[in-house]
Amino acid sequence: MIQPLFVLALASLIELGLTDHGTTLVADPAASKGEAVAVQLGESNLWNLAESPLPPGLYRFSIALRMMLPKDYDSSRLVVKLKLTHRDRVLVDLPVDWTHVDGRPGAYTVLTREFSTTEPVKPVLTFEQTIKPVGKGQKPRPVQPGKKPTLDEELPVEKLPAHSAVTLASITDPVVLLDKVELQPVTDSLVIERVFPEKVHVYPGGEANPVTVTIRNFNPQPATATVRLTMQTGLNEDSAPQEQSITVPGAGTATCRFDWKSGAREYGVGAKAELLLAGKPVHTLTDYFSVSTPIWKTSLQGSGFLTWAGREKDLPEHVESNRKNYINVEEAFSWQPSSWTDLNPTNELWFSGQCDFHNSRSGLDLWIGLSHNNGIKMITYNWPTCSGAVGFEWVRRNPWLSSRNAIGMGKNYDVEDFRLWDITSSRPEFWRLRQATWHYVWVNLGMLRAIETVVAEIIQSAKTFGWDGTRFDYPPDGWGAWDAADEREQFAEMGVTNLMAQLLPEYYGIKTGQWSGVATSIRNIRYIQHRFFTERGTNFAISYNFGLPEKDLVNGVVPSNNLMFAECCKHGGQIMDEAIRNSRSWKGYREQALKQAGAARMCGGFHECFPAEAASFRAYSAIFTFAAGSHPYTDYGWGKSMPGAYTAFMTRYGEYTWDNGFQPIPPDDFTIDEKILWKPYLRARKNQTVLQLISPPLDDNCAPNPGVSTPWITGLTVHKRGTAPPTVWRLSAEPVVQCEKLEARREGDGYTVTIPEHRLWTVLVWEEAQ
Amino acid sequence: MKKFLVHLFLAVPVLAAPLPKARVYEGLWSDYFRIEPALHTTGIMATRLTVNEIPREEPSWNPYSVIVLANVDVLAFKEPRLTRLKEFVANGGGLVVLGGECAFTRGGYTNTPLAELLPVDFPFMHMIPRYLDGLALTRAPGATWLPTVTGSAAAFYVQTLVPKPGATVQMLAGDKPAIISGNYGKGRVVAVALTAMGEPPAGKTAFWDWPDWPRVLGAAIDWAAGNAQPSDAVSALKPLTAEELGDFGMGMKTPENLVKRALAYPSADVAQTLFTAPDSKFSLAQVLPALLPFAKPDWGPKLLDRTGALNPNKEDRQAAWVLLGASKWPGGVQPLVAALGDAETRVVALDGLGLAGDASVIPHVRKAYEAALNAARLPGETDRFDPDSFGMTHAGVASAAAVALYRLGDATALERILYLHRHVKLYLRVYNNAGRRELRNWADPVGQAFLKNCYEHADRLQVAFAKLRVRREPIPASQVPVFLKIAAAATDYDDADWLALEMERSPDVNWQPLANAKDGTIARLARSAGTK
Repeated sequence: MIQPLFVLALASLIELGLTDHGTTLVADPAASKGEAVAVQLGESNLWNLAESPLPPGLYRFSIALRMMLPKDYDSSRLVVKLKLTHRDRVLVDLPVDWTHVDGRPGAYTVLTREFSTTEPVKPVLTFEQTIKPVGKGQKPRPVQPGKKPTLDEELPVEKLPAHSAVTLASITDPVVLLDKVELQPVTDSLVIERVFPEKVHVYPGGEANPVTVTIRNFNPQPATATVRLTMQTGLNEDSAPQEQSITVPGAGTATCRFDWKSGAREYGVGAKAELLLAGKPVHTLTDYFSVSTPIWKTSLQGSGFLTWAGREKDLPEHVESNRKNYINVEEAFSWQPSSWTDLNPTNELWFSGQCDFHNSRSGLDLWIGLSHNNGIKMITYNWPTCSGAVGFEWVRRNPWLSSRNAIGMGKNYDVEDFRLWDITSSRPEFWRLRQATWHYVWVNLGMLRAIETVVAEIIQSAKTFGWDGTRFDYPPDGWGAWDAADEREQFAEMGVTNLMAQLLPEYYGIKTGQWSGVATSIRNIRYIQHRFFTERGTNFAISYNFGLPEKDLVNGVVPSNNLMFAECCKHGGQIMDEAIRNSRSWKGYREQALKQAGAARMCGGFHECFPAEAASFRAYSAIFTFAAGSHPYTDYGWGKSMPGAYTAFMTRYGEYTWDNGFQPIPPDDFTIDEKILWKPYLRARKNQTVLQLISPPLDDNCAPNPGVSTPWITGLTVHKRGTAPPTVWRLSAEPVVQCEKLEARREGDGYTVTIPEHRLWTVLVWEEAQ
Repeated sequence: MKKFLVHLFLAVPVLAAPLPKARVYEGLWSDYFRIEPALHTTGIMATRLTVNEIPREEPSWNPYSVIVLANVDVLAFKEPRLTRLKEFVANGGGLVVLGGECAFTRGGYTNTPLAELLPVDFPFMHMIPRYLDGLALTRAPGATWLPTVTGSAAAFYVQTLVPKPGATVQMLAGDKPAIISGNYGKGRVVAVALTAMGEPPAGKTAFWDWPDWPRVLGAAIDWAAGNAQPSDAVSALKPLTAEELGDFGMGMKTPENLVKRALAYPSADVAQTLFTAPDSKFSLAQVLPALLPFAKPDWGPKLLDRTGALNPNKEDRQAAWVLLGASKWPGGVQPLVAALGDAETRVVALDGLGLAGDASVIPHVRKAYEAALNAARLPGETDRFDPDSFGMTHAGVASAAAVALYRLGDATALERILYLHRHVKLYLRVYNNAGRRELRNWADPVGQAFLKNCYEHADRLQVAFAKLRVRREPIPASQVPVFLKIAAAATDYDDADWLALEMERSPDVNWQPLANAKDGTIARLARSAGTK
């Protein structure tokens, strides 16, 4: 029987006492009982939450708070840390910044976390704060330095008479108002501690992904229960459940494993485990993975920009972090001896030609091996230059396959550096003296043999290291027109005449004059795709850092003459948009993401965005990327605290923004609060219409930004004209993954649903019978 | 500190060389031309610097008889150098230009003084013509100075050079002119159309792998050098007169440019006057090179006083330690040995002990040498040192100790010097190279600290390197037998460079036993000395 153990409303808090570190009782009508404790920033405080130890078990902790900061206060730099600790052990770590809280005036935000303990604990609530460094080019606004009491200091316990509450208006210092704290036991017997699909991503068509469920027993006596596993896809497509009986030793854990193999169904899968005691479910836990080919269809790409040297020691933690954040593909950035011409080092140690990153064979094997064990696909970066000493040696041997300047080869080379290359790279004592150089010569992308060079290097490297794909950080276009006779001569020289005749039926007949730049670009792309898919299979993922200029996008439509962009998108190619990282306004970011992703989707491809690098409200990079049907490249801040579980959400429900089957439709039938941004994101697939409701940031500047929290909305209504009764699903990542069916009620000329709480981003799937 | 030590060891006149001297500017892939073997085969002393090291202000080319541009474009070698080069050749100097992606038409030579100087025209070509099967190199029928060659070699990317009237084709690649020579004014110019690009097909030997190539290139450089005798720049300063010295000694008037003139024209009178001048006029460090050759025992007591803590000027104190040794005052030896125990005075005490000439201190100096290298050695290594401590401290101490041992007649000193010469040079190159890194963000304090650290280490290593290479005096007589033995067998180019320097500044030694030394520079120096 689950009973609330300890509820600390305001009165209870007063029983604990105000500390003597800048706390004040405040009369606040918005607080649950009209009063809250104001904690002055610059101070740190500790409260004992339990007079007697809590027994082992699973608990739910929640706290309601409100930030009350002066108008010019730099809240974007303030991170409040609420921790629940027992001696040196952290039970709950709850970093809170302005992006997590409800921006409505006077609103309190309730934050909830679960924690478990296998030993009796006396939780202590700790209030701390950290100040983020000032961003590049920004001037600091006033922030009070903090002073922390140590755990050795005696915790002051002092009752504060109720009549001493001050008014809100009298508080001028920056404070956080604490309303109520709750600590509730969930169970003290058995609990699902972990649901773990072996892989975070699998390909369709029979790839195994067993799910392990771990059960913990808090009681000292052994216990027997039933574990039921249901695999969920779509909105309500549940597999037939599998059940296993399990006996868990006293004060210990036991696991059970359920086999599963992918079928044809793609996108997110929820592995939902239920714990049954005497046939009744007592606890449920779900974890997610995705199924797709290519990986780009469901990709959440991590950051392969690792430590310059010594990365080996960080790799297990790095991959674990990726897995925790549902990252399912990662690019090894500039790891190779030469960006284009050597991806097959034979030594144990080497330095990348581009920027001198230190690498080792064992480190690369470890990184890729650990990632693959978790279903995380690994792709290799490439860039069309011959880099470093080995790259320049390739140029020396193949001067016609590289580019040259009008005079010389540019000044970007260093004879002495090349002379010292082998010495400084083979002697660790010199490593720190050789970082951050990049000597390069461009390859001549007009020469098919230069394209074959990188293709052959990547294929061999994939055989050696296990790459699942590659990203062309510069699109391998043909640079310009080429003489038709030269084209045919090089095909003959390479022995690919018949192949090119098959791959390029529309151009191959041109025997005189010139092949246009478009023709040579398409030649390159088709040759690359052919070689990779033939040698590595059609799961091999190819990405191109590419963006269409504004003039080439007319209302999101790719003009028919932009054939290279379309060619890149064919066969599951991905367009990666790096330029968007420089966005300074959210309007600019979201419009570019929409246009570019729309163009890629229209061409049958996939799209990927860099986050807005300057952004202080990082969650909006994620929201605008996902809402556009695009995918994230590199770290958006997942590992840090975000107001939503966005990567988990997209792993499970990404289908409803990513599937290219969803096409834009006019918004005429819907009526929604005008403050909500939704019209550009309205898309439909068969009988499903997906609405994405976004509360845009109040400050459109990505940064600098004083930190204006977005107001949440309760009771948001959505109305659609129509006569067919719909089924409406609300999907949300905020604060955790949610999917619920909303009641659609007949109103006027259609149906209306009410969303109980909308924070930043809500996805509605509106299904109507066809 | 650096300034002081550079005064001490760098501002030293080098004796005029009997051999041609080349200044070589090395561009990308210039190593394939095997310039260093060519120089050592032929016996040409050289200063080599890469295109990245070309100084903003080019020093005088007077010490050189020939300039070599190895695949260097006019973006790196630009005005006013090009005009100076034209004047240099017109006045009797030599020039050799080697081919590549940065030479001739590809190097932007068109419409520059180089185009006028060179004995060839070069039509515009964006791509250097390729010959995948290779063009065979042969001695041209009208060749004049090109040596007879054996075996066969090929080139694969050969620039198109058209000989000007009066030019002589020395070597052909297939039927293309490959090496062409001609005159310009009083000078001589060689153009080499070969490039270091491509790879030989099976059965073909690239010219850079051809055993005869260093002889061919060496002959080209030697021919271009001609008989031009390098010379030192003539100082515009005048020697100090007896009257000026007298007035100064009596405290009446300080001559204009006193220090510079004293350094340019040192003498016993100048040294005595400077030494007895009031302390406040200048520090001993400023005039140390002018004092060192003339230091006398009766300066000893005063010098010992100036090493003391009462002397507030650190540089002056340190120079006093060196002079104390140079004075050969018997009472100075024990204080110098004692000064080895102090990190601040260790290097100057070693300098002083070397100059004192008392062989009984050799064990102390050896101990300092070994201690320095042991402190810098990486655990378990014999020839690898921690760059940080080696660069900042131990290279300087070990170099000072090695030179001191050499001066004192220690039989192991020469090998120690050569060992250090190789290693200090490597660490200096590494730090110089690291210091050329460009920071992406120049406001980045971490990056700036990194560069500052590199500069500091490079400065210290440069001082140690200079100490090893540049001494004022000729080889100590006691070292000659060991020197002859080592120099006869030397094949390492760094070693040979050092040995040649030593021979050059010791013209009175009979170097004939080295006439057949393995290294061409040493052998040519020996033959040249023998003919004097």
